[in-house]
Formats: sequence, C-alpha cells, structure tokens
Amino acid sequence: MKTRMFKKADLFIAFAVLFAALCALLAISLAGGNGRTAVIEYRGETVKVIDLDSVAAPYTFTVEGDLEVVMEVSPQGIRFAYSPCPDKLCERFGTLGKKGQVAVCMPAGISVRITGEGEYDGVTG
Amino acid sequence: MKNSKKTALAGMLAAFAVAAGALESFVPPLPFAPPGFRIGFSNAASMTAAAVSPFAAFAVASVKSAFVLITRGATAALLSFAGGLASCAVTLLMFRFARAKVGCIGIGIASAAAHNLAQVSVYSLIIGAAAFWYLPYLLVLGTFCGALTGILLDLALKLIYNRKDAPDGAKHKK
Repeated sequence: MKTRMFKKADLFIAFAVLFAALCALLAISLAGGNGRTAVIEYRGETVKVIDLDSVAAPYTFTVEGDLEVVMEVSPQGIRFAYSPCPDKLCERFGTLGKKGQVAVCMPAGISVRITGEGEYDGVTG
Repeated sequence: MKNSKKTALAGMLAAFAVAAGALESFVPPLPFAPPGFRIGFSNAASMTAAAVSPFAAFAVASVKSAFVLITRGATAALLSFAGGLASCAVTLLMFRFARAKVGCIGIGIASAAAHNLAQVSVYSLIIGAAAFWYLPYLLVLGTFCGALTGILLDLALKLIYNRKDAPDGAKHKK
C-alpha cells in the first residue's frame, strides 16, 4: 500500500488536536474567578497560596522541596528566581502573571501555577 | 524486506535518532515554547522505524531513551521512553489500519500528540496535576512540530522504499 506525504484526513487530525488543546485551555482559564492566585505545590501538595493582586512590593522567599528554590513575587507576578539544579529550566519560564500559566522545577519537585481563585478570596476576605 | 536488512535499517535509524536528539540540544529554545520543549526531530526516525517493523520501532525508542538516560538523567529518560512508546504505538496503528486514508503529516501530528499526552501523564505522577496545565501549549506546538517530522518521515520513506533495490517493491508513492 502506498503512503503519501499529505491527505485530506491529515487536516482533520490537525484540527482535532488543536480543538482538544483549545478545550483544555478554556477549561483552565474559565475555572475560578478573575483574580490571580499563585498556587505553589510540592509533588502535587499545596505548599503556599499567594494572592498576586494584593502584592504591593516585590519580595522573595524560599520553598523547600527536593531542592531549596528561591521564588520572587512582585505585582507583575511570580517567578523562580533561583534553583540550585543544573538545567535551570524553571528560571527560564520567567515571570508568570496570567491565569493558566505554569512553571515547574522538576529536580525540586516544585510547581507554580496561576489560578483564578483570587476573586473569591477578595469577596470573602 | 529481509530480516537482516530490517535490523540494519533499525540500527541506522536508532543512530539517526540519537544524533538528532543530541544536535537538538544545541538549537536555541523557541521563544514562545515552554522551557524544555523540543521539536522532536528524532521522532522522525522512530516513525520511520515503525514503518519497517514493530520491533524496529521499539528498538529505536529504547536506544533513544538509553541515550537520554546517559546525558540527561533518569527522569528525562523515563519521560522520553513513555513518549517514545506512546508515539510508536500510535504510528504503528496508523500504518496498520489507516495507511490508505492518512498521509505522513497526519501520522506525524497524531504521533506528536500521543508523545505529549504520555509525557504529561508521566510528568503528573512526578510533579502533580499542574503538569496537565502544559498540555494545551504542548498540543498546539506539537501540531506544527509533528507536521514537520511528518515531512521528514515522508522523505525517509521515499529514500528507503523507492530505491531500485527496494526488496519488496515501491511501497511509497513517488
């Protein structure tokens, strides 16, 4: 049987994958309110929750995982400021300030993501 | 195709996969891609191997991950192997059941999506559910990178099956 470089069904496959991506993105960005909350987790367990909208001045703190990483919070968002791991992938994520963004430091087992839970905190607290 | 020829081809494809994987670490990261994202040129080699035989596909995926184990550590190797197995499985199934309907680009995209899905799933076991937040970005980027590796797959199949001494005739449309 012959194989070709491109057939019409390929377009269908491409759109199906892109549609799945869009659905996943919508599910992430529609969940929660309009606030910006940074959720820091160590191997799936929440370590720290920070309401980014209430941050007035930048500050840093350390998170103890398999490695000790330094995170920096500012009104713009949150970032991995320093990790002792060799690959430094987490530092390259830069500052996360938009809902749905995620950064992971795999050697440390630490992740940070921006959820929309801040609005509820604002209303209740 | 004779078994000896298949084995030789699997070896060459494994070598290409390792070389492509090594060269890729020198390519500067795409500015809009999450750190650690790779285009996956070596996937073109494992997909070509899947066209040769299931054994060749498994061999290439294993050699590729063994090289990752040496150069990037156990976790990266585990992720590479999970992705490699999933994309090989999808490629094998498509070659077997959908060869008449889909082209190499479609196979490349489906294979890349399977790779991403498997990697994120294993990643979530290590890091937690936050891993799934990567998935939308990976799927979108993977569609383009999969199309790219699909074109490479097409070129490779032409080289292998359109030769005059191709053992079982020209399987691949010119």
